[in-house]
Amino acid sequence: MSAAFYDDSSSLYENKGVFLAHSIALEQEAADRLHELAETMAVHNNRVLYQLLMELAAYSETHAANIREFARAEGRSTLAGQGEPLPRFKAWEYFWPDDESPEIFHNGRVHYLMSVEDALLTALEVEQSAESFYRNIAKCTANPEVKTLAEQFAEEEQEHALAISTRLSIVKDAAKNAPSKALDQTDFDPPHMPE
Amino acid sequence: MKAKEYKSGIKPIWCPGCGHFAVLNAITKAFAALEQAPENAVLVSGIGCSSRLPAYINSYGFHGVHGRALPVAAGLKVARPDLNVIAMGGDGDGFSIGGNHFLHACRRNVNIVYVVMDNEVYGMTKGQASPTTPENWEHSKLTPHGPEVRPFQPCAIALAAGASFIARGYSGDPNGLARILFEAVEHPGFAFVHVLSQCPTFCPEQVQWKQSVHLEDVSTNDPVQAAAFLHADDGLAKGIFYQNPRPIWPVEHHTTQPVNLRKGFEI
Repeated sequence: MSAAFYDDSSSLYENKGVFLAHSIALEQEAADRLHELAETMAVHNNRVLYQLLMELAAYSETHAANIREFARAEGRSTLAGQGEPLPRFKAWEYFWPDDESPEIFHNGRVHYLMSVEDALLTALEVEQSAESFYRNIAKCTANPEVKTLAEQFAEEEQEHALAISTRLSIVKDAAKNAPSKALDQTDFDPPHMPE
Repeated sequence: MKAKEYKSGIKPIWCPGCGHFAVLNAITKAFAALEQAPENAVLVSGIGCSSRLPAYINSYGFHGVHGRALPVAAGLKVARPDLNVIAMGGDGDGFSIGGNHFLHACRRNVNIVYVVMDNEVYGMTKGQASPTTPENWEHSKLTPHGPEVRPFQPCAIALAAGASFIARGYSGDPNGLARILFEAVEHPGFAFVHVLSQCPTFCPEQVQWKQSVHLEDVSTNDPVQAAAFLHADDGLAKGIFYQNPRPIWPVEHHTTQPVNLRKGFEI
């Protein structure tokens, strides 16, 4: 992440409402993308990845719900008539360090023949990216409330990353004895043959 | 409405990682920002992977004939100017089979948006060279030495043909693309949105676009400046390049009422 990004937008992160709106969007967009990918994997008969991605989506969905609940307890809400409204942004008005939110599963990393190991590696990267996002906010903000929340969310992302990392080690160990499934570069569209 | 409420219940059958998912998401995000009433929007497409998109949006849609999205969309807009009409398709559909419609839609300036999801390949028929395929692309057995033809330059041609809004988005940046689509819908006249939309199955090398695409929000209303920019363009710039409203068609004295049309042709 560029230092320039935080220099330009750090004032935005001094506002707790704006911070919470970004945190909810970060988790919700991650959940929506994982749902979308899971359903696509199901369409392409990749049931194993469907289940894994749905499981990951559920984590993000729960995290988004927890942040919404926290905001509600503070008298703020994304829903009309349920407290002080959280700031609303158009999709392109969010201050993300990259083109998309930090916890998003990039489409460029996905293929219908991708393995569980590939998916877990990408999941690990996006959790680490979200952790780094929150750590940088905690480091830059002058608002003690935002700092506390950013540190708390960074810890939670670190826990997710750790859980995925453990699972990745198990998958890697199991794959050591399995035959190689490298993509055939002479056929760009081989059939997916679930065993 | 929230962006995801603009999605229909039909699950896309595109390959995982397909850039068209990002275009679908960008359209729903733009609709949410526009507070678009679903019953007042119509998506019209031709044939191809990308032309499946209208089925995935919770509004009216018309999945038409190969290359003919633009005449259907223009006809609809002329008959029902109250509707927000968005035509869409791929590079083969729009620049080859429907190439002539593209030229005249730019020239005519009907108030519609045309989104072309360009993956530089015919994906639905398993990966043949399209009008925008690089001339040395050797991955199709039909063109083992590459197409050996200079690729079509959609934005430069749109400018030369008279399009009044020209922009390029990228599927790796759905939020930026949503902004472009928002502006395109707001633009009075024919708005052409060229989208670099990766095909992970037949052009896996397009994943590298992420490192090369760069923002160039020129947004000039000067056609000479726009032409200079587009002729120097490496094809990987994204942003709004040209915006110059001019009279839209049909002009005011026209009408769609048959009785008035008849009067106009009386001898």
